[in-house]
Amino acid sequence: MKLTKSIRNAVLLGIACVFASASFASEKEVDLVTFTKEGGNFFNENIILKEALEEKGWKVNIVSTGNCVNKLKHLAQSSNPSIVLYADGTYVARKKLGCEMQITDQALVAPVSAGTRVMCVRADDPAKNLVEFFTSRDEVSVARSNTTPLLYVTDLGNVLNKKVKDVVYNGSGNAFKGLLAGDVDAVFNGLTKREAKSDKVKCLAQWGKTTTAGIATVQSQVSGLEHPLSWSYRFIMGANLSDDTKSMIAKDILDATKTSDTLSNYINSASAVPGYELTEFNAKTVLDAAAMIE
Amino acid sequence: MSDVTTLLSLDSIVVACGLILGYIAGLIPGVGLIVLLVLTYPFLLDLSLLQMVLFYMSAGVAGQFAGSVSATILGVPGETSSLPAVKEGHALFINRQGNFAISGAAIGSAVGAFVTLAFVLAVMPYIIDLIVNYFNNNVQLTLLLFASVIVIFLYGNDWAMNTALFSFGIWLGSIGYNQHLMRFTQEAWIPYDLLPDLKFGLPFFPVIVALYVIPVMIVATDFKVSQHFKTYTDLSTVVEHLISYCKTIKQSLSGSFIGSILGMVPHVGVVLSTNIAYGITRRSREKQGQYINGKGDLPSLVAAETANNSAQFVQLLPLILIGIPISTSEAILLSLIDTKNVVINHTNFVATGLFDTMVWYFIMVNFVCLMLSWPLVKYVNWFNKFSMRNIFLVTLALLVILLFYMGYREMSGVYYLVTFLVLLPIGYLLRHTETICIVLGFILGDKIIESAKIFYVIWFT
Repeated sequence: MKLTKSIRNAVLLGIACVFASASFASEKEVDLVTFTKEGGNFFNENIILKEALEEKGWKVNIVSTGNCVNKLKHLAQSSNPSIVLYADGTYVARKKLGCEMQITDQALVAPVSAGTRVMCVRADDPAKNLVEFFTSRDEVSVARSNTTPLLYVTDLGNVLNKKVKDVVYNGSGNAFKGLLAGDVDAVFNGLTKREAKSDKVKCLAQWGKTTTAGIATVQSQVSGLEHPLSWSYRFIMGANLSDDTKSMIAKDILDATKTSDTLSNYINSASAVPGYELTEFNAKTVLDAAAMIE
Repeated sequence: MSDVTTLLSLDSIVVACGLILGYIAGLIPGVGLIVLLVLTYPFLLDLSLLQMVLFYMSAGVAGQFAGSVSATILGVPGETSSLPAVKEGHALFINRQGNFAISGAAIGSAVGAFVTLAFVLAVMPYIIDLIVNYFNNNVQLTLLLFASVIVIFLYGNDWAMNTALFSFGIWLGSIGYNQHLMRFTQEAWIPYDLLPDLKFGLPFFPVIVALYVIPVMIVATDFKVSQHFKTYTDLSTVVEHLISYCKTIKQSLSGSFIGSILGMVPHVGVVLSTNIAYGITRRSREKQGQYINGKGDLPSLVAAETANNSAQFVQLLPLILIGIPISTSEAILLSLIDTKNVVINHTNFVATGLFDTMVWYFIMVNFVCLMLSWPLVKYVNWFNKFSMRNIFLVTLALLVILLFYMGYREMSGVYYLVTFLVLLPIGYLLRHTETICIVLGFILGDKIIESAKIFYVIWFT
């Protein structure tokens, strides 16, 4: 009888400890839901984000869903606090597949970075600036990826009164290769280290507010543009997050974009603006950027 | 001095880890370099630029050596580029020649690596311009179309059937949302709303297992093997194995040449060069009356494996010379490098001497992998003690489990399984045709469409 009672008490104590430890552990625990193939650039960024959050004391479980349809199914069925790394280009691509996440201020957690776009030409091109480059040709062929908006290029062509041939590649890396190999005259891509630091290309203009990575803004060279600014955003969306958890994650992500070696280096390598500097960021910001791509 | 010694030791440890993990990953079907990099990603973040590249290089080389082992013994591709090893290596194994299959593949791989290295060093002053021009869309489209024609005319004797199979492969590969056409293909009769998984296309592994691996295994297992063979331990000396390889040296060197040229075709270079080298050698031997389908052909296998390893090295060059990755695994490597806030290019990697260090380790890794293959050479035929039927059944079970697991990791286990089961009867019915044409059509189709579209836009609009 005494033994049974002791065993019962021990079991109850054990169960209590498990629940206590579980509730303690889950205070800073979140699922990071990915929806792209393992090994892709976007998937790797998820791993970097995971590292950054773990530095802030979070327990991060990567949940790989493989595609956006599975992601939505999983988020609908799961009750775990979950976050998803997203981008405006990703949103547009998933919209075409019919499995985009709805971008609302409630679902939006925090910005990670904002990258601008650049137009680059081969390093041996004699043009010293954008206007000189365009005026030296009857027609300009421009490579871009399928998630890079065309309207900035056509806007430029209209203002400079030059026919622009749009050559679309599968991915910005292929577009960059196309420029190097002489398929096209220029490339219009998101600004990354590949564009900023390559000795094979020179970037004549970028669509940001100020000179970045030594590249002058397009609006300082060409006036009358309808769309002188172009941003591409990386941000975190959330699901099943309480207000407190959402605030905690947002604070830590913004802090990580400043202090985490891996995350801040990754953002800096793209010459992007880190999340903590993006003070006026909301759902409308993202939807406006996405509308440009559509 | 002690700092230099410490650094050298660290680099060696990294190379050793890459070699061991890469070999294990290559042995396990469906794992491979991409999965290995993803699994080790957090640990690789702490490495230096050189160490990251060394890990990648050693894991990639070891994976290629190991991939042909599982293909030979089990008939299961360890890497997607070991499809010829599935056909010829496994057939040789069933015919009690598994020891020569493994030694030939291993020596060929090592020779391919060294020959390609010598070639690269010889053209180093011009290599950046060569690489840049190679990426030209006209060049890429020509190579892809040339490769397609070669595939159709090289395999077997029925080019009409091969054309149909290749087209079937392209059609299978086109299912889903097409990024270049920017719409869903075949919407009229593929119910994407009912079956949303199809929006993302058919998964590669179930396709090659159903349409290539299983049909090849069935044909190989049908082949009647002499029952008088009693010896399972390899009694041949190292010299005899070297002589056996030397009889295939012409095919090996041609494989190395093909691997060096085609290895830089983005995303498909290794698969393409392996299969083209295999196809050319096989065709040549068929014309000489020396190729017997289903018995296993060592020269064809050696050509493929040599091309395989040559392409593996050449594929790395665009990344380390101009910072452009041309495969998924290289893209992972580049994302790792990006976290170090350094740039990888000729100036930072070659001019600083890091490339020379990589070359020395590359030579060493190939030697070590060759040595690692030797115990397998001695004892591989012991697996023949089991009946072929049992090996086939075990392999089939392993394949089904693997492909379900691969899908399960992305919450698509059932989808992978259903794709496999739907395509399997087709693979069975086509087992006496060259189903490799389907696989290559599946892989190349998308690249051909993209390249053709770009060609049209550049020249005709």
